[in-house]
Amino acid sequence: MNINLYKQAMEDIAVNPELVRVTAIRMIGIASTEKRLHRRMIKRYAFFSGLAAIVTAALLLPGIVQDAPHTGRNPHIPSNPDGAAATDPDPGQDRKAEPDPYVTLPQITQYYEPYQPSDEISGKLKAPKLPFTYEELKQESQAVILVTVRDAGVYSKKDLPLHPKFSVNLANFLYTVQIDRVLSGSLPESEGDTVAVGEIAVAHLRSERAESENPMWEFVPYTLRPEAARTLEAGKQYVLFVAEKDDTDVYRLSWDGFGVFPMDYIAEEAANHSLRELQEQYRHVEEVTRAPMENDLLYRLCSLYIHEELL
Amino acid sequence: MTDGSLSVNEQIDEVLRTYADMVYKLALSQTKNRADADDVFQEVFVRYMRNTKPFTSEEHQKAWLIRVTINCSRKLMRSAWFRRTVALTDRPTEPPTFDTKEKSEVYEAVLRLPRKYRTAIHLFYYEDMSIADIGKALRLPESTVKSHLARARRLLKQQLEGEWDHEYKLI
Repeated sequence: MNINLYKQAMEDIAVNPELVRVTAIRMIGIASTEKRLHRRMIKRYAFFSGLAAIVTAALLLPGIVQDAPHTGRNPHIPSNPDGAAATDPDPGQDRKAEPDPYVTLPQITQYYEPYQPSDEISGKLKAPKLPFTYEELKQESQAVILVTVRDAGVYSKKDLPLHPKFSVNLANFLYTVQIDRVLSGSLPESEGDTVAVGEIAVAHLRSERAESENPMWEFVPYTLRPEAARTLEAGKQYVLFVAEKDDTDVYRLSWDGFGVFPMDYIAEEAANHSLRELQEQYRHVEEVTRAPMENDLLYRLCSLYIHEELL
Repeated sequence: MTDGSLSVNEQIDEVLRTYADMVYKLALSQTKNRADADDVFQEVFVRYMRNTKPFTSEEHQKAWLIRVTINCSRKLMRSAWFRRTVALTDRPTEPPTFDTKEKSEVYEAVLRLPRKYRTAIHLFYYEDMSIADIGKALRLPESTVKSHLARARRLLKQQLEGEWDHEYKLI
């Protein structure tokens, strides 16, 4: 056995031609908008005949997902955990309780564009890890803030047009929030009243026909939060655990899929349980066996901690 | 389609033809995961298109792609997303499979090496780059590259104890 086997092993691995094809299409798309290519690329024309034909043909093939046009407003505010399209819970009622007008922060429009549902998703999804305790949740957070949500939606980064069929790290669930109060930790003094907060989003099947040859997918916030807390609704108050800002001027949720607590949920838990009762229950869940089904218990416990400690 | 756009297509074809394999496999050696390598692959070529500084030579372009692939992989692995995510069990990402057990063992042994040693091994043995070229691409002194290779070989020998022959390529 020698290191030559490494070279042989690597040679056995093929680059997926479909990945090369869609990357070429993305590159052509960028070149068409940024006409700098001629000046900076090394001109070598010796071997272009074969792949050129493939790329040219690829441009004519159907099924290529086009970048979503920026409409100025996110058309997709998911509301159901199974990824179904948002529906009006009571369409017959007058919408007098409509929240403040829609607000999108400049950093969101600068770096992101609304993500459109697609039928081409990689299937190489990852789920976030979750904290084990309230202390861990708080320790990882720069600040705990009480906010009113102004807008929420799924966005992809403008400068990183990855193809959904080959990407595991594609979409962001971003929300614009008005800071009502900093409950713990601190935000920079220069920070305004309204900030953007983001967490990862993952693809969910739009239909239940998972075995279908062409299942429809859409991105929704990845969450194991309880049903009542899975989505963010404009006009409602939430407690958010946030880490520092990322390079797009967006605060990241310190634990994706977890650090969002609706005020009405916290109040309801506080009315129905005591902290000691939930502590006892959670203590009896063995750490090594704590699985998603126990997150609901942790979530309720954290809600009570927030109620007792911060509110 | 205009002549101008065809020319751009041809140049894109050429850079992908020449470097797709190098970028993908370097990304795979860094991330150890095909799904993440797919992401890095796309990001590298998107960055390539957005790079505004001209390349002075073929070597310059190759070195740039190597550095950006390593940087994009590193950025991904350092991200909170990478550290705080787990693959969903119902749709796992399959590791590569090989036709012999020996290939699998050596491949896995290399992937177990610390990243800087793995990078040196990959560029030296898979890309057949010289120590001088690796040093230029990674912006490291040649002595450091030599030392990374030597330590990597030592670790590989330890990992594959009793089954290790002389390397086929000597410095």
